[in-house]
Amino acid sequence: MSHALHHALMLAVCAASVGPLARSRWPWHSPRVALVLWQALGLAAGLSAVSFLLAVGLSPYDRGVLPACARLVADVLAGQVFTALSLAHLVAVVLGLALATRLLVGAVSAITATLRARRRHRSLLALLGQDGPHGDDVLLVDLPTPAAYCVPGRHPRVVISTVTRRLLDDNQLRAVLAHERAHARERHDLVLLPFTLLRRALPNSRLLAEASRAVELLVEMRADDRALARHRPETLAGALLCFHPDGDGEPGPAAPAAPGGSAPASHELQARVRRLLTPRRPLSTAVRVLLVATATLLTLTPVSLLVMPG
Amino acid sequence: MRNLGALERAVMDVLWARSTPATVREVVTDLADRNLAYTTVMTVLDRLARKDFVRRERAEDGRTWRYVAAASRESFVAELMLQVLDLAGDRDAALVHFARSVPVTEADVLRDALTGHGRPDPSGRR
Repeated sequence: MSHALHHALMLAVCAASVGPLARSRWPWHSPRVALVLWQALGLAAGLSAVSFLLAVGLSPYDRGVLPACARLVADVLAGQVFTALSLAHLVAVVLGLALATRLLVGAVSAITATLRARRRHRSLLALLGQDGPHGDDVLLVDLPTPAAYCVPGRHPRVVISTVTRRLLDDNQLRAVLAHERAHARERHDLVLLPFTLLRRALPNSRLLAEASRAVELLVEMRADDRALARHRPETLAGALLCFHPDGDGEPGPAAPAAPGGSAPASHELQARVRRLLTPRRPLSTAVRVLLVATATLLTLTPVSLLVMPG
Repeated sequence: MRNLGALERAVMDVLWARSTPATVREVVTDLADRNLAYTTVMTVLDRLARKDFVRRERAEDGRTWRYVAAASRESFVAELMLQVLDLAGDRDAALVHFARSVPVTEADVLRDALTGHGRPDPSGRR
């Protein structure tokens, strides 16, 4: 039973750290390191959840899940499953495998849906967009709303709506393009993907929603930082504020909220603007090393529990 | 590729301008100033049909195909808007935004555009 306990403990640790980590401000000082930590947390939680069920079922073998699975297969082939495992144990194994399958199938279908949506979006852009004077990878689209986004992929595209073009001055536009190109270059869509997948598997989980929001914000802050390599923070902040011209911070009751009940975007926007306008204080090297070590430990713990022979 | 995109747009403009289905020959005629080969236009129409931008139907003679735009330009714009605003369905990481914010007036514009084209509003409001 000790393996199952370890996995359960791991899951509890992951769940307990989401809230404090999502509400902390220190990750904002070094978004990239914080993103590494979030990835490790997501991976550890997913692995532990599946392993927990399997470990409960395979507890009579008293070893890590993978070696125990090998034993189970050998016993099944020898036709003596029930000498080693009770029916209850077998049920737990089946449940664990079912959860793993569900996560896997969900992942495949979510990725297919995303790719299909992206392909459709690219087709629509080919039909409705125009090449602007801002570079080969930039498309201008006539939309009645301020929009600036990146269509990720092997040939990424940055899309700017005509309203955005009118709202921003040339420097602000260049800063926004730098921000979007950072998203494309660092494949932030893939950074967000694990959390999208977990949320699909557990759509009602507040914890996962909180984690996704925190990761989305960190990804934006990371792209802001990349844009700052060539652009002044005031320029980027000015561009951000153009996306919220009234400045009262509330999008009003008529603004469409994204499904899934996410918080108003304005809160995140204000956090980014305030962060840009205060002097940057990245975390010290020692702290960053410590965080990366923690992330490594988080990932390795469930993996080592899985393969442990004894 | 860029050239092909321009051709697709030109062909769609022809179909949008016509109120009735057109044969390949008719599209070639409408684009006479571009001097396009019949097969080129047929290929473009075929591509557009595969992307669901164009619908194909048999003419009365039962042999020739006629093509019609699957939707108006405005409803394609509305579809694009839905995707941009993440209203198209679940929030998959299909696009990565600079900032998510929709001023009230723009939201109204969008809602009008959508109700005008009979698309369901996924947020449950009309």
